[in-house]
Amino acid sequence: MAVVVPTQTFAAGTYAFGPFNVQQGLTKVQVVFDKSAWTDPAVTLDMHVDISFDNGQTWNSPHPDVDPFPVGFTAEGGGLDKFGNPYLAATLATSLPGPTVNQRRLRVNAVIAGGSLTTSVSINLS
Amino acid sequence: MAIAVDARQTGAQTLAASSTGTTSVSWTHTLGASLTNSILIVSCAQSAAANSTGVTWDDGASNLALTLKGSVAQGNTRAEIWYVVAPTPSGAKTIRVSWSGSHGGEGGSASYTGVDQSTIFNAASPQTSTGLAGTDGSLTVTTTNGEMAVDSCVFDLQQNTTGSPGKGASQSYIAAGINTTNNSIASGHSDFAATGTSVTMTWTHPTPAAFPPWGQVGVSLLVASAAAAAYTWNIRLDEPEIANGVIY
Repeated sequence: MAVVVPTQTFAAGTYAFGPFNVQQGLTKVQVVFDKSAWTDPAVTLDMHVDISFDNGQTWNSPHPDVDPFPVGFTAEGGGLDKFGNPYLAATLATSLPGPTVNQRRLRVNAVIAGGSLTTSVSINLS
Repeated sequence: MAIAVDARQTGAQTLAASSTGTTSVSWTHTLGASLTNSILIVSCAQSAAANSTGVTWDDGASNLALTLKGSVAQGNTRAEIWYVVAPTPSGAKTIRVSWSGSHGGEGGSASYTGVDQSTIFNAASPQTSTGLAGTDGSLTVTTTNGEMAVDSCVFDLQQNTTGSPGKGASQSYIAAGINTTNNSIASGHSDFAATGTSVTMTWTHPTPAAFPPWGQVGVSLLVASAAAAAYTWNIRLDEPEIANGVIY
């Protein structure tokens, strides 16, 4: 299952994606921001993923599993990996707790600073 | 008093957080209230030649800094163990691992009670091991009965390969890294309650990568000593009795 936000230019500011329903049985989420056009290290992104176990009524409430939500990252434009290749994406991956819960929802919050950011967002559930 | 687990990432193949092309990764850890002789351990790995620049508890609020206890390098990857004793505040708070420049990083966390608050670690800690392609990860951590061994392991994957390592049967997961494209590392973090003079912590190589080189760092947490017994000394000074030149 994947949700894709097509490439567009986001002005500096705060953005929310979702909430998205999460089917039972899914155990992993991966959020990918495209970096191919995001080369300026002055442009930064601070994002985190929240989870709800009650159809979005409450977020990040304690769950019987020891879950790590919210999870997130900070990123800047550009950068080379250890092989000397440009990073083409800023990616977050984590486990999804409560696979038997049928009212799970996810949402992604992002704060862009330092300039506008041209990117696409892909949220993959598996 | 034995060392007890307060909270950790539990279950099979769970992960605190993994990221790539980023400058930090963060996740939430729930720290129990009113813990006695507590410690927070963060085990992390990253695809960088230098250590992480910092790890904080309650990030964005009180920003309590953790201290690096040990690390090991394998190529352009590292595995690290950070700690802070008696962390505050309690509750669900953010842990953030930061590094300089864009890299991939993974991590997990665990909190314990009953840990010596002054010496903290076994004198032999930290201990490290590394291996080249063709072997699985293995590290023997020096312990005494009742201590808690904690390790962090990193596999230096090849470009665009993915996978997670498998822990030794007796180890409990703190977290296991789910590798992401172009991250080029896989990591594992675990603990093991010691019953003897050492524990051997092992990690099998992640598939489908064929036996990548690895590095492993481990520590052992000392058990808090029992509170010193309070003694009251009653000293009575009597006047000596002298009879026939003998002091009684």
